[in-house]
Amino acid sequence: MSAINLNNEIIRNLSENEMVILKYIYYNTNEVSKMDIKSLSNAIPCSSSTIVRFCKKLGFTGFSELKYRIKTDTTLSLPPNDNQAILSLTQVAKRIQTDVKGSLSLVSEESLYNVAKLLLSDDPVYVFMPGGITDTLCHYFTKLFMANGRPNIYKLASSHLAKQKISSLSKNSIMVFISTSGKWEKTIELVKLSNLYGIRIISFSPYTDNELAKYSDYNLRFFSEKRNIGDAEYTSRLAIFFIIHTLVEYYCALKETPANHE
Amino acid sequence: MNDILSSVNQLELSDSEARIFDYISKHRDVVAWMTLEDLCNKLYVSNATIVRFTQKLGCTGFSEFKFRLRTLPTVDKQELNTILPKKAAQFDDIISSIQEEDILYICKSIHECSSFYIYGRNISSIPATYLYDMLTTIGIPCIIVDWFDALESLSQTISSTSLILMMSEHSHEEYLPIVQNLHKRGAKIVWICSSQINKESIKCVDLSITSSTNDETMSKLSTLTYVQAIIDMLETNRAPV
Repeated sequence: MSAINLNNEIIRNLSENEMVILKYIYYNTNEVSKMDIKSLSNAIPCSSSTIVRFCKKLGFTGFSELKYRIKTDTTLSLPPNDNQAILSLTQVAKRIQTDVKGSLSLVSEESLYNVAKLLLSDDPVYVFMPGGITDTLCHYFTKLFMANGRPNIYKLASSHLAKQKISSLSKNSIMVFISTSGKWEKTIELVKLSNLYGIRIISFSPYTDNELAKYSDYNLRFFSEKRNIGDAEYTSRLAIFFIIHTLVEYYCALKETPANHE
Repeated sequence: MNDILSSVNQLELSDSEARIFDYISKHRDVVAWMTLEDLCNKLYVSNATIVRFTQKLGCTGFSEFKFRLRTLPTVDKQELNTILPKKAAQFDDIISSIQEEDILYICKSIHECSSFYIYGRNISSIPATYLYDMLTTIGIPCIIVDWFDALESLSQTISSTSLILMMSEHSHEEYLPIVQNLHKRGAKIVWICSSQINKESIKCVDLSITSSTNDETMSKLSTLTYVQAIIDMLETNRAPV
C-alpha cells in the first residue's frame, strides 16, 4: 500500500498504540476504506482521538483524508479487468526509446572523450556503490572496464567505508558516482567531500538540475522518467547502461589509437 | 569471409537495384548501421526493392545484410566520431527485434507461476540482478540465482509450477543436464541467450530468445533492453492476459 508515506522519521515517532493502528490498517485495507472512525476505534480497539492523532502524524488532515487516499490507492492496485487497455509493446518500446535515444543524442561527445582519456591512465578509480538498483550499474561499470584491461578499479560498497577512504585518497585518485536523481544525500555528501580533498570526480546524473553534476569535474548525463512506489524508486537505468557502454567504446578506441592520447 | 558486395553481378540488377548497389558500395559503413526506412528515404525506393536486392545476395533480409556488412574485415577501424551514431543504430536494431508475443508470454508466465527464479552469472548477472531488483521494487516476488551450483541444486528440487528465466552468454554443455532436469520436473523455462542455444537444450526450453547483437556477449545491452521491456510491461499492465 503506497497511500501511506512511511519515512524513517514517521516510523520512529509512532507510539506502540499507533503501531497497532498501522498494522490493523495494513492487514485490513479494504475494510478500513469503508469504515467510519467509530467502527475502526471499536475494531482495534482504541479511542477516536488516537486515530485522529495517528492520521495527523502521517501527514493527513484527519481520518477522512486517510480513507480517501487508501481508497484511491486500492483502486490503482487492482489488477486490470478485461475492459482496461493493455499497454502494447509499441507503447512500452516508445518509452524505452525516448530514454535511450534521447540520452545518446544529447550526451556530450566531448565529455565522453575527456572521461575516456582520463581513464586511460592507471590512476586508481573508486566507484561508490550507493546501494539498491544503482549498484548494478556500478558492477556493470567495473566489470566492463576490467574486462577491457583497465587496472586499479575499486568498489566502495558503503557510505561509511567511502567516507573513510576518501579522506585518505591520494590526489591522483578518481571517484565515480552514479545517481538516477543526482540528489541522493549520501552521494552528495561524498561528492562534496571528494571535491574538498581535490579528488577528480566523474559522475553520471540526469539532465535535470542536480547537485551531483555541480560538484563533478566530468559529468555524463542521461534521460530517465522518474518512477516511484512510495519511498522506493524504480526509475529505468537502461539509458545509463548504454552511456556506460559507449564510454567503454571510447576508452577502447582511444587505447588503440595512441595519436588520440594528446 | 567473402565480401558480400563482390558477389553482385551488376548485369542482373534492375535500375533501382543498381542504384542501391552504387550507394551501398560508396557508403558501406553508414549503411551497415542504417534502418531500412532511412535507406528507402535516402534512395527513393520501396522497402520491398531493398529487401529483394539483399535476397539476391543470399541474405534472408535487410537485417542479415547489415550484419554481414558490419562483420566484413574490410570495414574500417572504428572512429571515435562514429561510436555514438553506431550505438543509437544498435539500439534501433535491438528494439525492433523484440517480439511482442515473447514479452507477453514471459509476463503471463510470471503472473501464473508459484515461484519465479532468475538465473544469470558472470556478465549475465548484470541483467539478472537488474530484473530482480526492479521486480522486487514493484512488488513482484522473485528469487535470484547467480551461482551455477545453486542452479544445479535447484534443478533437482524445483516444483512443476515454477518459472525460471535463464540468461547466459552461451548454451554451454554443462547446462544440458540442468535444463533436462528442470524440464523433467515440469518447470517452465525461458532462456535469453547471447548466442544460438544448442539443439539438445532447446528441446527442453519453453521459450528461447537469441539476443545476439554486435558485441552482445560483452555488453549485454540487448538482454538489458529485453529485461527493461519485461519490467515496463509488468509495471504498466500489472497482469497482461
